[in-house]
Amino acid sequence: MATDTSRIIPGYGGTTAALTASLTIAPGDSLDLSADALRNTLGENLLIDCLRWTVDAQTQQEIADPAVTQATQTFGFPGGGAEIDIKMGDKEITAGEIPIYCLGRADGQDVETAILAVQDDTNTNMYLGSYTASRWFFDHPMSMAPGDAFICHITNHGLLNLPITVSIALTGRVGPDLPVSRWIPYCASWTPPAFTPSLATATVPLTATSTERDLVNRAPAQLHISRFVGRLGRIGVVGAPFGGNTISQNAEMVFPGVQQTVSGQPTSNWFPSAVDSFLTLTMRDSRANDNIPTAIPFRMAFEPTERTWECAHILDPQGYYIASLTLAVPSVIDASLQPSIAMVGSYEVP
Amino acid sequence: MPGYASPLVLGTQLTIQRGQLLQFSAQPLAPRVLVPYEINEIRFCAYPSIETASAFIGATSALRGFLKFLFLSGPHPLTDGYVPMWNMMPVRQLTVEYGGYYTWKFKRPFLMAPGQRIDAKVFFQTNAPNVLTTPIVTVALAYAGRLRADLSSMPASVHVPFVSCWDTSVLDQGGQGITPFAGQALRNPLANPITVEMLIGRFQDDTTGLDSASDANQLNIQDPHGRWLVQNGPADGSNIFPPDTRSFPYQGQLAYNAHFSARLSIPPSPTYRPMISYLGSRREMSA
Repeated sequence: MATDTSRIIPGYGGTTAALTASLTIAPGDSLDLSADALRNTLGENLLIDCLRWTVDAQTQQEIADPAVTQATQTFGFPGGGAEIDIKMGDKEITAGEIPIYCLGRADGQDVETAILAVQDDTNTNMYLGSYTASRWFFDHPMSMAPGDAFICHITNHGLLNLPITVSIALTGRVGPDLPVSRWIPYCASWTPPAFTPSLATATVPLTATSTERDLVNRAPAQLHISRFVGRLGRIGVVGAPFGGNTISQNAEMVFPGVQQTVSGQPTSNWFPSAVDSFLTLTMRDSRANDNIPTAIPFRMAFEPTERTWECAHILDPQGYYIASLTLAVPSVIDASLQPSIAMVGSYEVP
Repeated sequence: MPGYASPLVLGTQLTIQRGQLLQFSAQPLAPRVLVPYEINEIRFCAYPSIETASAFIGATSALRGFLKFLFLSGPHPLTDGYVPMWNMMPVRQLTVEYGGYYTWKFKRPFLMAPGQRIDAKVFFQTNAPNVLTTPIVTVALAYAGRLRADLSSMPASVHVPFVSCWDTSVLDQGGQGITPFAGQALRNPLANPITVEMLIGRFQDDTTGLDSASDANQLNIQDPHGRWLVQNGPADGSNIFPPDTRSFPYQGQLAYNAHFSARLSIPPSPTYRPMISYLGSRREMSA
């Protein structure tokens, strides 16, 4: 008799279990996690309900007294610089490589990322680095039979020009009497080339449009999408490690930088046009629906608290979304803007 | 054969000056579809600072209660007149509010028939402070929901959200002073009973734009049954509306013309403008 896996919820029994693995990657490198690193070797059925990840880019730069001198360094949120491709056997969990911070909703802008300082044991200097972590809670627990393994391929795009250590943990429950889930989590994303804001003008805006192969359901079944994730990274920014008024590090922006965009500009430039000319979004789907028919600011689609658009719905196999982003700001202080849009959900295999 | 639900976000924006009352363009706020659709939340984003050209997001740069919105869907109002933007939701993240972003998440989806829409108007408080010479702000508005092609027909009745507010910042426009009583500002003006979810208490300093206001005052609120929710409470409402949420959960129904009673011990000053609202919903016949 088939199990009604839609009724499986966390806390159903068994004992807690976690599979963990980590990998250090140099800028520009692209490596596989060891094939056995995330394999279920527990001998019993494992129900995974969460994938946790950290990206750590610390201890590579040393500053004598960062808190006082406010020395400028290249630091910041590395979540967008690491991409991950996940499979389990022949089942796709991601549609190709996904910016790792697109896997789940943001836990909170104050806890998702941190600038760390570690004292050098030979002098009073501090090693600085950045660290980010979050979680992807699956809509349905996922079964891993004994011997099953997550196959992960990770790329460091070198946005910070630092080696990064990516750690992955699969957490859930293990036991002989656990039900078997047929649900597989799934995430697809679209990451266009980074925008160079200084090139955009109101009359000649920069536009990027996704294709049918980006935000696509490659699963062999209907995809139950729970949310879209919209991230907006700023890269190539050099700033004071411990803050400052208008100086920031590489960061994932809560807002699309309108306030920063207008910094130092004549008010006549930014009062009437800051929002409506910034990064706007339209979207349609493979069923000919206009999901976002009129261009709206990025954060009006992906709310800034969690960077998500919670919207439960179903997408057919090979169904897709076409998103279009437009930037029409004449001048900004950011060196580069890197948007990413992902759709996250799960599908049920026979 | 029914289809599927699909995501939907409708959005538009306008620029507004102090004292202006403008209507958002209706065309972008109505999907051109032949299927029902539901709206789950209304999102607001207002730029830039009304006080300063400061480049970074800060506590003094958000528009908060200075923007008042009116929402109307056909014959069904979603607001009891003009309601301050920040009175439609509890605090979720202060930094996000400082950035001028607010979202009114409906407890239940508002289902609408093809062709139906929510019209929106906005009023920018006349005496909003601004040290700059051209106090123009851009206000973006978005409705997030789903196209409901999976529904073969509309149900007989639908849930319609509703908010009513006692906004002490607008009662003084005639220079007549402000009564310390809410009167019937927190009432149910509709024929159908309203199921109340929560009360929101916001306190604005009209002179500086800050969201923390103090006054030698005492706050009193009674529910429609005469029960005290707060009696002789502190002026900032901190014992009923904690600063991290600014909300007070309340489960109950408001019959026609029933109302909460809010009262201050003395008339509020320009540096102390309480804005107290309730959020709820009622059932209406579908269009």
